[in-house]
Amino acid sequence: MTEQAPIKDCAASSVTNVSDARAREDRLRALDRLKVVGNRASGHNLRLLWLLSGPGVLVMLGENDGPSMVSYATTGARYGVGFFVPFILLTFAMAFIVQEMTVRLGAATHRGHAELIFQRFGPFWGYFAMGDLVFGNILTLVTEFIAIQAGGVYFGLPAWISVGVGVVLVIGAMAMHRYATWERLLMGLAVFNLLFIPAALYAHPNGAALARAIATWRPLAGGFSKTFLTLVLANIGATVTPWMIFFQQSAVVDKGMTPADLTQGRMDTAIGAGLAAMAAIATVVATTPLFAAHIDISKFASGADFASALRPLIGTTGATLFAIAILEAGLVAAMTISTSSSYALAETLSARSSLNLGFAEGKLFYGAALGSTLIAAGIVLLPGAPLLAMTLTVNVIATLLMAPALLFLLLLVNDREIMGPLANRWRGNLLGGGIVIAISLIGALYGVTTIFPGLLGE
Amino acid sequence: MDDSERFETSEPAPLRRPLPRRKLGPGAVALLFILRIYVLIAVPLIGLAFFTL
Repeated sequence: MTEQAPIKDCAASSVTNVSDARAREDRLRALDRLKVVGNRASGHNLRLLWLLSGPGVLVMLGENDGPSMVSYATTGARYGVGFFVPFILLTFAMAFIVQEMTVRLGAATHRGHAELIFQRFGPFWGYFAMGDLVFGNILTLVTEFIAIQAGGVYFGLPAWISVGVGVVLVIGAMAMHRYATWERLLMGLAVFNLLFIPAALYAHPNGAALARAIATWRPLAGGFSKTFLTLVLANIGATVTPWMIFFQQSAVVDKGMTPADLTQGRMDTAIGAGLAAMAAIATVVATTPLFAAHIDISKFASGADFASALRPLIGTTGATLFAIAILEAGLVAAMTISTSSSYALAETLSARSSLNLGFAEGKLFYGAALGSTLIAAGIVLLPGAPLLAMTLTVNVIATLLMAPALLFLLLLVNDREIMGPLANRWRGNLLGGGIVIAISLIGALYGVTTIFPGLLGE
Repeated sequence: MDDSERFETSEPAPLRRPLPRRKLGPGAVALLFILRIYVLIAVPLIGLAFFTL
């Protein structure tokens, strides 16, 4: 660490010298970047990875949100360990390929996704992309607060306390006005997503059955059916969503990552995908006892219902770990999704967008997160609000809006004027394009069949 | 590398000029046209989902 002292001195003097010309956000980012430069120069690779990790881990564990974990729990309770275990691995591999493109876009252009769409494709598509994201995000936030409320109910907390604490944490984390602190706080909270793993161990999983499922994609109880197709679509919808694209690219920019950081950015995304896949599979394994005991889950409305039903089967400790992880799923997703709305709104309206901004400089940025969080929390606490309908609508909206988001991602990542040598090559386009087409078609099919359930027959 | 160079190396933010509009090729124009049709279909479906589910 011999180079650290001069680098810090350099940071202090440079920051002082340019303080008049640069905003606070730029100076804070520069200080973070100097640590990166120093560690790269001194060959501290693990420390470098730690400094540059965050956006990928957060986006992947953030997408393991309330509704997603309910999808995985439903999968485990209906099908047990079998086809869906390797299928979940496949969906996270697809998510990695999509999210890696956002890392490249952010590092190459230093601009957020909404900003790029606005500048390269004009105001119509810019406002459309921002509008559909913010609208979908507010509805998704409602489902996250439903998860937080449901997790609180398991522990006997009234809704206003659990939702209120959720709101305070979302706003409190942003009020630190420091991207690096916000990111580390969320990473600390996101670790609780991995509590699904010990919860799964309390279900006494059969290791041989798990290995056989991964190797053979079997068994598939009941074969091909409408329920099976719905769960396939729900699991895909639980892995790749529009807010992830906007969030990770903006976070990469806010972190100040450059093309030199691409290796670590990719590793960060891969580690996030691996951890999230483990938590998702653990959720399937943890709820497999419901499948074995033929428990009817058709009336279950939230993750807390699964935790309560699991208590007699895997014990109080396992069920409590499951409920804590459900709470975390809603909370971390609420924090990341509200921030993605802030980034998109501010970028589209040419306002400054960074978690390093002071409140006075970033009124629009912080106002978007504050407003969407308060609206979502308020809806959840509203007596008689149609929460179940909203949850179903959110899934439909997210899947229907996935096609435009992915199309713009592919167009931007092929834009050689802004991407230079980091633009997609033919292999990347073949793989990425295939995934984009598949996810778009499947997502649209899921959306349409949810609205018109008779389309798939019985 | 002096202080200011090191600072510039660490700070990618000066790229703040707006990018020009992209000149779209026929493929991109066709894709965006298809997307407009998709949006015209998807927006009513979302409205339908909101009021019927």
